[in-house]
Amino acid sequence: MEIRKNRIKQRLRDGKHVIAIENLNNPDLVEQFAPNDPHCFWFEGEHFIVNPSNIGHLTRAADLINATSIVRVPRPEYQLIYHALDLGAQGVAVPHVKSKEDAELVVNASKFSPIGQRGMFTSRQGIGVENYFHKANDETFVLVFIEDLIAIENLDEILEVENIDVFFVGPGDLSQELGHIGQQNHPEVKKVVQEAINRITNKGKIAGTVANLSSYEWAMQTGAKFFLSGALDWISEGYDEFIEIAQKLDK
Amino acid sequence: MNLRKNIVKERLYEGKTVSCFAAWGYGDADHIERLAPLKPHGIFLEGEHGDVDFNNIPNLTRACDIIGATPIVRINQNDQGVIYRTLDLGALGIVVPHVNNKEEAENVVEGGKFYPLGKRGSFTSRQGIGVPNYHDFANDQTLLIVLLEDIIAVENLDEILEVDHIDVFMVPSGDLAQSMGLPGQGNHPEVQAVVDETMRRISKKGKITGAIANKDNVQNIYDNGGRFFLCDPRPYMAEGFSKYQDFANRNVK
Repeated sequence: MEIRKNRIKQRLRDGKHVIAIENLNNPDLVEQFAPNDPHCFWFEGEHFIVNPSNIGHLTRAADLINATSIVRVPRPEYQLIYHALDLGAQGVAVPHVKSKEDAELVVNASKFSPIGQRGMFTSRQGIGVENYFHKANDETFVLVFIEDLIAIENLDEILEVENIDVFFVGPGDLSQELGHIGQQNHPEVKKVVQEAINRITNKGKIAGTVANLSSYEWAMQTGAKFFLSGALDWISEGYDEFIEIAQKLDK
Repeated sequence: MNLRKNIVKERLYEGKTVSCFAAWGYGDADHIERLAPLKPHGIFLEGEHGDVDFNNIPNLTRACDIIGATPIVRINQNDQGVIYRTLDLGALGIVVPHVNNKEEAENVVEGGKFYPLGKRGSFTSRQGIGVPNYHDFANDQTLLIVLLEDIIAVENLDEILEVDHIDVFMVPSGDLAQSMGLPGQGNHPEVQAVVDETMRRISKKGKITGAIANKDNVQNIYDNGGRFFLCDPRPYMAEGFSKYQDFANRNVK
């Protein structure tokens, strides 16, 4: 058996954008999305219900509809990172990477030798795959979050770390440190995000950021190629539009 | 403690429209709770075709309760035991598919209402915890919806409408089309004509009807007497995703 290809790694290699869909942390909801041919699902384990007991089910559903699965783990910790991969994630997203050492830890945990020292285990993605340990690294997507001012300060050294696919500039946590909590679209936050994206792309690396209803048109013109977008935003927009019409019927 | 109000039922009897969010393609308790800002009047939980069953009804209906939306469960058989067990576990409304004649409609009321209206099994629902004299108030807060979705039900409409204590009579087109020899063609003009006419007959008798509604068809549903709107979030997600994708295809360099 061949190893399952990582669709978004290929898209990014081809210079294409990627939209990772969040808010659907349930296997049935993932599978229902098939007709829209999504690139990628984002399963939230830093802030939401994703954990070792549901990663297998979630990532299987994504596999079945040919979407890449990414699990955001709670923190940059060696075992947490490869455990998510072992259970079937094709990619990991690691929050609050603040230094070169943090970034190296992420790579060390997510790649087998000779790149790293990921704990030895055949992932769900490796069942029946010949020479899995020689192929896994190529199909494993790695994303780190740049979302602290200290990380922005250390960005140049973080960018020296190889084998990270996306450097994701997180406006939410940055807004907090910049004194504009919750205001992801505040000009000062946008400025910091844009500058970080510029520094990432100038080094030939791929940047990512949040694309929500209020920011996607801006975010998609920053130079970033990887976007995290919430299905709940789309539901809200559609439902609100409906309700506006329905409410008029009551008058 | 007072019994939780059935917001959907209250609005319907005030003559208002109801927008009920169907948990199709978006659901499960932690996800439903995040719909709070949308203020849906009700949440439609899918147990005829979906994964809603006795094990998850309490968690699902609690998530609805906490955001102030009436939990409505579509069950998969017109069985009194299934009807009242679903209510016992926390549903405030029941949707019964394939109700085809007066006897079947009466069965829904018998299973869904306590004495003297019916003979729902005596038990204090999750909704009745700490409510004094729960059994005296439960019937008022219980919503019963039947689906008339076979052409035989349309033929038997007058006798079905004679059954009291059913709050909403819906005429879904999918199964109806099948029973008219047009499987998968719910939008066929012949099917739609039957739906429209049946809805008008229901509202002419002073009864409430409803349908799956979107911004393009809601006026027509309303004009046919529809007041209960079921909102499918899947098209919203599809539209949103394709909007972002189109924009990215044009602008991401």
